[in-house]
Amino acid sequence: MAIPPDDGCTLTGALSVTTEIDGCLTLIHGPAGCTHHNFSLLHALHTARDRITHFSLISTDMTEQEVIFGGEQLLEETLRRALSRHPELVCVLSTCVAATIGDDVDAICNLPYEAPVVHIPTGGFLGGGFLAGHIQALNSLSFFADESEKTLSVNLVGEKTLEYEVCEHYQEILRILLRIGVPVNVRFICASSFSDIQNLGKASLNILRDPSMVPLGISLKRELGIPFIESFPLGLEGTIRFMERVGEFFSLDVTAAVSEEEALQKEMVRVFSSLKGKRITFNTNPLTDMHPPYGYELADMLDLEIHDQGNPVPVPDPFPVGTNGIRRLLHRWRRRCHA
Amino acid sequence: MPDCAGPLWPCGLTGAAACLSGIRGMGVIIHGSAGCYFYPATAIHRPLYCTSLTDQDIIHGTDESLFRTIDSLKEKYPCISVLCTCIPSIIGEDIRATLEDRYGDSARIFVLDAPGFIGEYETGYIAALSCLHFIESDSRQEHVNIDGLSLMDPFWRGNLQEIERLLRLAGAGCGATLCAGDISHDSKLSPCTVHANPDLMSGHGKSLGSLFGIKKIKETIALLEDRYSEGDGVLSENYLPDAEERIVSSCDKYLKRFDPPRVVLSGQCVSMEEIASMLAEYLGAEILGIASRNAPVQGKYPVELIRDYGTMQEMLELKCPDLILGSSFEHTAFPPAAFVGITPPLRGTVKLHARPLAGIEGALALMESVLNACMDHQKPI
Repeated sequence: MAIPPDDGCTLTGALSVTTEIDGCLTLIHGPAGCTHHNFSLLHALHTARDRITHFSLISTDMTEQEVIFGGEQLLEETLRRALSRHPELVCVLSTCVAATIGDDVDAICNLPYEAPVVHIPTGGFLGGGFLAGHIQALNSLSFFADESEKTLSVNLVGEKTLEYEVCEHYQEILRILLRIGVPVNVRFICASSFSDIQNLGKASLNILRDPSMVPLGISLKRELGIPFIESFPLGLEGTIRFMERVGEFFSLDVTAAVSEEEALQKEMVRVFSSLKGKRITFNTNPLTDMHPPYGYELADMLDLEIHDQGNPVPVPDPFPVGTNGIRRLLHRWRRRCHA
Repeated sequence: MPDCAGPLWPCGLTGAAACLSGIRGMGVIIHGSAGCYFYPATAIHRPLYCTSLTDQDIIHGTDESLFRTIDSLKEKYPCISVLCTCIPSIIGEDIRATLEDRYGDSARIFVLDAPGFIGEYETGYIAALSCLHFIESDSRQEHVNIDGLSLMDPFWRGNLQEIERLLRLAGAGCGATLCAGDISHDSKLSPCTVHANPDLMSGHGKSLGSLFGIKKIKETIALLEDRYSEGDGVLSENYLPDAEERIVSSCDKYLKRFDPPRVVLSGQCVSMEEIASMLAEYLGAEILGIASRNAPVQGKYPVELIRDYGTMQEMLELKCPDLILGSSFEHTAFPPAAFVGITPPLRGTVKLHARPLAGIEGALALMESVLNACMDHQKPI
């Protein structure tokens, strides 16, 4: 295919995790260009979200010299200089260039250092795509979690930290969880610290961002004994079902919380009643979502007509979280329908 | 060896892609992984294509992926360029010979080695330009080429429009525009060239000078009028004195209330030097330093090569400027200073209209932004 699918580099996937850890220094073993690409993309996303937090990203700045003679010595020198900045944690990410010339990154990372050093084998495209890098980084970092006594709390696992509205999604799931009386233990990993990662094992339940994180959910269940729910709450009915599942897991009575949420949803449908009878068509990515179930649910709820010539309305993938996510989406639908 | 902590400037691959995707009718293929594709694709805002190499291609060879991609584009584009990224360059396939065997004369294909490890943005841009083999034409004597246009530059459209305007007023036609606007791979070059960006000079045509910074604009316009307008110097007699007077008057008014700013500039070296000269001359600014993204050229002001965010932040904290001219990296690194964005990337702002940085309007726009930023910065909160 001439235009790549909307995935990206393993490196970017791993960086979407490691740059979210406070006190972590990420070292990329490869040409400076690979680091610049990602540094600039992350800078753009942070700026768009009004974040002025700085993340530490160092490149070994590999040149033709290392491509010919090998880059292990350069990696070790750069790693030792990076450690002189006293980071709490160093994540070493390899690129496709390092993987192709056969540098033994593991061996360098396993030398004794004064701070934890973890190699996340990303290998650029040799290691898969963005999602593979995201999961690989979370997997590698989960080994820092301590065995702990379980508490009445959940971990949020695999938030898509590069999403423009990641903070809004977090606020919404937090609202829903607090409504049923369940606190969040750790965001694994979004705006987290190294000690947060060590506390990962204290939660009784993991809530995965979406089903693409199931392989990680299975791994965390095996290693830390934490079962999982495979997705954040999506859709109107899905949000109610999510509350009931979490309540059931913790043996909590969520009847009142569910009634309040249903009332909120009913009020939202009333606010958007001007959409009634409008013709819409779904503006979806044909490769990923031919039949957007949450789109049909909303169309049904608001009495919209789905028609080939209708106003094209967005159905994002992943779908916005919870009732408030749907409210923001309906504002966009209303604008498209001029209602 | 210094740390490379948060590299600020794109690699040669991005420079090459920026150059070639500015050529009309050119399909640009990034021969590498999807990871190498995404950054140039988001920064250049033009269709780019990619062979999306996988580990299987490394084992079995990358030619099939390349053929597939070219076959899907060759009916759409009269000309195709293949930019080989790090991995095809390392594994050493003879891409040119392979494509010659497969396509012969049936497709016009340029192949360029553009691995990221070989150099930075300017290196890739100039290498891409040199692979195009433009031909000069005597029939275009009355036209002047414009070079230094790059789709990576947020000011390229404004620069192009402004320089076209100046050339018309100077009595010349607009020649080839390297490399954006209406140029195609077989465009003929005019014998003379003016530069929109003194850090991206193509080497094509006889240089009539740069149109970046008032001092250079004056010199270049004098040459242009001398050559093309037969004594009717509307630019040097009216437009330039008027623009300069407006700058002088606005700066004078500013200095009635405020001290001159202490400035750090960050971007391509020669361009920053020209801007620094303007700030010093009209606003009495103290130039604390120039942080150069490309190989520095020693000039009137202190300059150092700064390629990474960490060093940039240290420099800004040390010099503590009142005003920074640079990219949104510098804006983020040192929020207390007033800021004017002149270097990519410029994130966190909406840019819709064609704002110039070169030419008379570019100089006016720049000084306007500087004065507004400095005044806004000193308003009580």
